[in-house]
Amino acid sequence: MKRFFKLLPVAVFLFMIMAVMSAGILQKDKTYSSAENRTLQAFPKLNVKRVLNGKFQKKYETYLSDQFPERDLWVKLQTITERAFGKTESNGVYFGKGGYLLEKYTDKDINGKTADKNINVLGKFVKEALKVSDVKVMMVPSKTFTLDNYLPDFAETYNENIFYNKLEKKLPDNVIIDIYSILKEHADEGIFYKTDHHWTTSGAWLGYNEYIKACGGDMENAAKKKNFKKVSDNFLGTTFSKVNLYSAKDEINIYEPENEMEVVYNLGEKTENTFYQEKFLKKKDKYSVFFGGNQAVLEISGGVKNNKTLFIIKDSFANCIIPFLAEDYEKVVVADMRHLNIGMTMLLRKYKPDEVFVLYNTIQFMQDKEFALKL
Amino acid sequence: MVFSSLLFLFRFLPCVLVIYFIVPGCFKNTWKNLVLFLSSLVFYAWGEPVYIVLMLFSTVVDYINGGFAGYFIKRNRKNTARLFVILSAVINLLLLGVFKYAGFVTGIWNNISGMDIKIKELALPIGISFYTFQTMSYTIDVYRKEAEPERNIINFGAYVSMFPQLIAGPVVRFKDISVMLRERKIQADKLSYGTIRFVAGLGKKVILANQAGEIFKMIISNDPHSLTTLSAWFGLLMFSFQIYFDFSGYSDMAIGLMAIFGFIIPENFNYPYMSKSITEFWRRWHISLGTWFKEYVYIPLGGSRKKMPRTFCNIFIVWFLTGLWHGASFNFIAWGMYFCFFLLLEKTWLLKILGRIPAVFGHIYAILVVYAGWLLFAWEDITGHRAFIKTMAGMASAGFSNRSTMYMLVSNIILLVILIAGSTNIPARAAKWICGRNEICKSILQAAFVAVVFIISVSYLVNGTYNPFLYFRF
Repeated sequence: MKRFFKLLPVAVFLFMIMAVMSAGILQKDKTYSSAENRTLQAFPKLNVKRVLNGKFQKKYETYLSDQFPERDLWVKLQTITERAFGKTESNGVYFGKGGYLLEKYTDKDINGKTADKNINVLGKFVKEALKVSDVKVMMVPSKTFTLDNYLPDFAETYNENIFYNKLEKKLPDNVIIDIYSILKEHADEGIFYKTDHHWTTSGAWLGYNEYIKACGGDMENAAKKKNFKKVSDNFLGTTFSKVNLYSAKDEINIYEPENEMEVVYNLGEKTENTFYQEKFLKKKDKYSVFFGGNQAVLEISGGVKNNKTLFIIKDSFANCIIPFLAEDYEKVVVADMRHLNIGMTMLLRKYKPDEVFVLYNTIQFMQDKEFALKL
Repeated sequence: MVFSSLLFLFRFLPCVLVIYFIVPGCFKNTWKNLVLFLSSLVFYAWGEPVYIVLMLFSTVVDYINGGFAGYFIKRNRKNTARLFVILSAVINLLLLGVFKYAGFVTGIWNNISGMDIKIKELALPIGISFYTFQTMSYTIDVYRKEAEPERNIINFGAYVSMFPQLIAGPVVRFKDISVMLRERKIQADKLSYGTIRFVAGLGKKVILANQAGEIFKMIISNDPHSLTTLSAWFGLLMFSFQIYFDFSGYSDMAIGLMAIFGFIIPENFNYPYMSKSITEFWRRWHISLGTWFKEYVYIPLGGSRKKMPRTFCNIFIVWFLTGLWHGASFNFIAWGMYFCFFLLLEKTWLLKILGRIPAVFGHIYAILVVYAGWLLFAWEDITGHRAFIKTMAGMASAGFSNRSTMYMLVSNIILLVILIAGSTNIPARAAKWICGRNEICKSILQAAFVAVVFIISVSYLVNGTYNPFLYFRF
């Protein structure tokens, strides 16, 4: 009996190494990891030459690690251990207060040159466009910067004010709509998803109101649009995917227009009479419920007959603000340059908009390497 | 191959264990030794298949030299026997010289003479500093009649190439192990001790040393202008812990594996950060290397039996060599000299004073000297170094502390506490206190320890290559 207990640690150890080895050998190799979205290493080619120069050995170790049994579970366990060690971040994500997962942006994540170039190009574009249309630019601050009161103690993030100051110098007066102060004021009202980097429909509603105010539109009408419909309560977004650890789920709310609208996708690819593609609510990528994700060009009609066209140049942050704006114009054209191969001037000439609205998330704008090339 | 890899833990080790325990122990363990020898060659060849030639060369040459030395010493022909000892030392030191120090020496020569001799930089064969020292000890031990020459080349090959301590020691002297090569038994005690020791070492390396190392790396990779004084001190502290947990963790794994295979080899670390003097520190840090230099260099030179100046000279030689052994670079020599200085200081008067004052002062003194010593050890080039030392001295453009320093301290406070406690004998005493003499309680606690530490270590190893690439970044 004593001997049995003496050997207990040995038995535990042997069981673990043997079990994992057997599981690894018996299981079928996977070719793709959906959690990491990449192809996994297959069993490497084996011949004398590759063994002698060590190539086989290197690839084999990658193979072992890629095909490790229950890999995602091990990764999760490591994150839990790190949290137990008191770490408040993992894989570039802060575990913030109140269940917020906040992406960490450091100076290293921001390429100053790209950001400066984008600001310059935007400045030139705005001056040019102002000759024919009214132009507004709204840079939505990142979730981390806006909700810095939710950051773990002493945690830091990139100071976006540096960017706003630069932007202000390069753009004409009365073009920039400052959204940071109003968002900050409402920071505790769920204006950003807890598990995703996007702003919520409530956040976008604030943005919409600021836009209408800046354009001198009907504020009363804008304020009335705060009746949302909940379409999901189990959204786990991009920030969650980076840490892949249990966290509170998000709700997705949408704003439904009073009248039926017509949305033409990508210059006639398809036409629908809703902004929302509910099939995405059953998938992982639930934010794509808004227009099925980023589309190159959207043409929306069916709004108030005021003979006005709004042209939106945007990234994914605009997807949830468009439904608010759509009703207030006879026509709304939305262009996502990252998915377009036509120059912006060409499009502007085609649609001759009364108003041009540039809406980006600050971080995504600073990091967009193609912006300067395509605008 | 390294122990802290999935390959070792889940392919190599299980296979070797199964074969080792199936093979019979007859013929004085020759078959088991053959398994150890062959698996060690596979272990060694995994990363650099070519250098296996070197290992075999070393094995054969020292087998022959030791054999002849033993043959002549038995017939009382001491001078002829000595020739073979010298031959063995020359060949081993040449190997070490060519592969480890050639670039360093030519660099110095070019500097002095103004010439520009270029040599091809060879990749350092893994473990060469360790196995050349081991094979040298063999011939010397035989010559000194402290061990019988090993007739069976399989046993000798197993000793030279023994994979548990091939890469990072401990340096096992032949006389410590020669009997065990032939006569050893596999016992429940040894198996269980070895398993616990191995897993403890794995945890020290993978969970503690790697985390401390990551913090150190992060701190020194920062722009020196944004480094605060406090974070520089913290960084060096993390390096101190990294090097201790890395090295002693590796030794634990080696000692543990050896015990599983039935060998009991000498300890290599004994809570060095609990020392009260530098003399004591070096009795607790990398013990096997210290012993090697003492036995094969210091004592043959006359040790401390001769007059003071000669003793000083001997100590100087030993510490010069100890420094140089750690790496072919000036900073390692400086590091050796630095300790030489304090050892001489202690030998002449400091140790007497330390003995009279409360122990706490001795601890503080020893820790500070060792801590500052890592400043010499951690950087091979001086340039990055200067800015760091300036920052530590308080001349930091970023000030004493800032928000990011505080963030780093707060999020690593638990790790710090574990690192500090782990460098002392507190965990061992706590385990004893919990179970007292209850053997069953002890075994259950040990089994739980093995399971938890092993599983967490593996999760760190698996995550080491985790590379998420997100599908919707926009």
